[in-house]
Amino acid sequence: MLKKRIILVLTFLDGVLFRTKKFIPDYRYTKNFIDLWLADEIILLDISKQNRLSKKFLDIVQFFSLNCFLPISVGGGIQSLKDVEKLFRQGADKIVLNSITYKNPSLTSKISKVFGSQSIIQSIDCKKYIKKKYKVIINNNIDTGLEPVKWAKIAIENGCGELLINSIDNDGSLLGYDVELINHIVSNVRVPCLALGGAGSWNHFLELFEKTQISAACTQNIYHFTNESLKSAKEFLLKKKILVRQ
Amino acid sequence: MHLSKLNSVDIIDIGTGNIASLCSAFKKINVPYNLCSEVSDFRGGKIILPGVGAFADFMNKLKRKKIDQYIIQKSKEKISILGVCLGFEILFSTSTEHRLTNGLNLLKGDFDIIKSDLLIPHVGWNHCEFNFKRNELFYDIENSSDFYFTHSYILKNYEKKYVTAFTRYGAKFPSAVNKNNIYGVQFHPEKSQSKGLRILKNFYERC
Amino acid sequence: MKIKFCKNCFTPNTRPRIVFNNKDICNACQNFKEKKKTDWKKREKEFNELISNIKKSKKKNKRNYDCIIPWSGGKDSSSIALKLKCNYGLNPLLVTFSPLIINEIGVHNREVLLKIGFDSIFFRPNQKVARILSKRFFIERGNPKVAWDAGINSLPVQIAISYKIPYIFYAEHGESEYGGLVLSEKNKKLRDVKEVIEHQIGDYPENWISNDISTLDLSPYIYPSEKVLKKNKILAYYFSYFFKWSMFDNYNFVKKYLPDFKENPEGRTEGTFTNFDSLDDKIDDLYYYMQYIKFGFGRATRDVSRLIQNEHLDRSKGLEFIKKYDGEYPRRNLDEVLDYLNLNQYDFEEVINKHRNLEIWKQKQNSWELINKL
Repeated sequence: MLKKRIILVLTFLDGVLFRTKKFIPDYRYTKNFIDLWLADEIILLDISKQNRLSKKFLDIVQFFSLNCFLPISVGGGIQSLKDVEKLFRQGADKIVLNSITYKNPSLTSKISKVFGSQSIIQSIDCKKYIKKKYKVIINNNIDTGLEPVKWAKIAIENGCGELLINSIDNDGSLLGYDVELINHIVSNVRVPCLALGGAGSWNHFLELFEKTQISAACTQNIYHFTNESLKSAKEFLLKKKILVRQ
Repeated sequence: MHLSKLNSVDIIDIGTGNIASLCSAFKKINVPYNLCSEVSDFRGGKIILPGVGAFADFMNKLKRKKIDQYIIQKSKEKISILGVCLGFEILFSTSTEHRLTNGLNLLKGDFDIIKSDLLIPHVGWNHCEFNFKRNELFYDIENSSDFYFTHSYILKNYEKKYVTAFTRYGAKFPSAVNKNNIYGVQFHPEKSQSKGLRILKNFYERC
Repeated sequence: MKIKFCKNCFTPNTRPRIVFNNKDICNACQNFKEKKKTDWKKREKEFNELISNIKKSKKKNKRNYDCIIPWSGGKDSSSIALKLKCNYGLNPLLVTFSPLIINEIGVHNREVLLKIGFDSIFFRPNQKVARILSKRFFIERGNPKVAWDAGINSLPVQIAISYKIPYIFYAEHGESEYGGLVLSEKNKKLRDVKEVIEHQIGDYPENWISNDISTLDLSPYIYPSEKVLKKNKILAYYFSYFFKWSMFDNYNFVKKYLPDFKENPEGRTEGTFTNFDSLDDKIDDLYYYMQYIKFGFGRATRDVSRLIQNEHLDRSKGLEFIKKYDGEYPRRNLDEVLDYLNLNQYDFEEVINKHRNLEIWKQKQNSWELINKL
């Protein structure tokens, strides 16, 4: 049976690992104690304000690809096929697209034709504006006016293989995922979805897996990045009958 | 040990996807490798056929470089070959991806898209159940171990006797095969942590 | 990252959650400027109203205690206890979450205050569990007091709920006093549980379950849920909102009314020039030393910055102290600490080096040097 995944998301600002809260980087971490044996996948995002996909960031991508034998997805400011090729050469297995799909949706289909749709994760950053209604934000503050499912369908039509549903409101809150948002999107698409934003306790993962059909729980919480934590989380989930890789 | 242990493995690299992870995996297990993008690059060692992307595109690239013929020739000479993911798929007869395309036909079987009531692609960790007894490729690996999959097409019309492991995604499908010196895995050993590394090591040392 | 030091108090920008303005002044120093502008008379009036409400509430609900004071026995919490009892006539219940490695001076100073006439609860958690957690987080995060932090946050609230005492008085709001992220202005007065989880622990103690530790074992560390807090209407205030906070003033106050209150019997505390702050746990020397390793500033900088902000020390003297004492190796209680953490010295050193932030440290043959020094 296909297992539910726990994915670690690392966000880098100018080559330094940072935590974000509501998408604003606020807290630098050192990456010494990231222990990757029990993670199911890793996502590396460049959240620098300028000069994304710089040499510093590419070195980081290479570091992870040389040292962990897990799928590595990389994103943050991808603008062209050239960027994508650069990242695959550095060791990325999948790339994460975000605002470029809005500006240039044909790029997604180009990438998919060359590298396959399973190599593309479309990130959707969602903000709640009134009760139960969400809108997609790009570049941190530009409102696309699009509703998340609409946006997701455009991305899927153009060939993305997975969706990364990001809740801006819950980002860094440690108070749990936005289950409502996730259910809304997951129930309307036919690709695997990953949820990010709000992971705190193991109960949050449990709630996510019990209340939605999500394929993977993503966490940006550095305290989840140790072997002890991941072991604890996975054992907790297995006890509650959620199938995860051991 | 085999004489070929002294040789490096020949990894086919025709520019689709990420060879880097495969190379670091071999580095990690101390197996020398040699990247081959032309027929002249091959050194006659065991062959790794990795692949990511589209079936038709990949076959075209192989044909253009005449590497498809090289592979077929070497398979007749009993050189061991390991096809990984898309590389696994092209070992077979056909695939319906984009349009009906022929593979290398070293094993009988056709690839068709995963049944549509499931999420496509099949991506994530899923377990492999051995068919008959454990194959050499899985030496020292527990039955029902998880490996990382990422694909949208699965094998049909296959000969069961060559299937060494099945995986279930909706229906059961072959996730590993072995016919004489030809091996193939649908999953990504280089992305499957220690058990995946073990698969690569086994291929080099025992297959 | 460009390392900068606050032009006023010397704290570097490596400190988590610190923010510098365009003049390179940190938010703690800026906060102090605000403190000067604060209408303390107005705040005192607010406080008096609060006190009278507390007293009314106690009478109405037939309670024995007016409020809870999380109490270490040190100058800060003891000064609050004295003021609330003697100046405002409250009957507080003092609640202590035990230090990891109890120091005699802490025991002595606690007893000195209790002699004045206070009830107190001293809670020492399961030491099998406490030691495992201390070791784990020392290794993982370079901080042996992560679980203790969770405990001191959680215990007073758990007691407040069991004893039905809805008022808690904390000392100072760390984030605004010492440089950090204030989620909202309201948080300077009333303690926000979200802020606590985020900044002090960053994690849910419930997540610490393992083969050796069950959820039940973690109960002293787990903060009561928001639902329970609301139901019990627990209100936790910061004393520093109502009264201008200064650790030096607190020290002097306590010395005046508790002449038997002792300073560090060894004279100067390791790693700093002071002798009166944070004395009750033998593991503290290591705790502050790890701050030096991770962020490049140690206990001396911390004490200097606080005294400068409250205008009790001039900058040149402060700089002298920092240069002399910052980052002093925690030798005094090393044996006990190694025993508590169940580590030999070699492994202990390895952990320390693993936590050196390489953006601020460079290795010179067998030793380490800070790249940016004051």
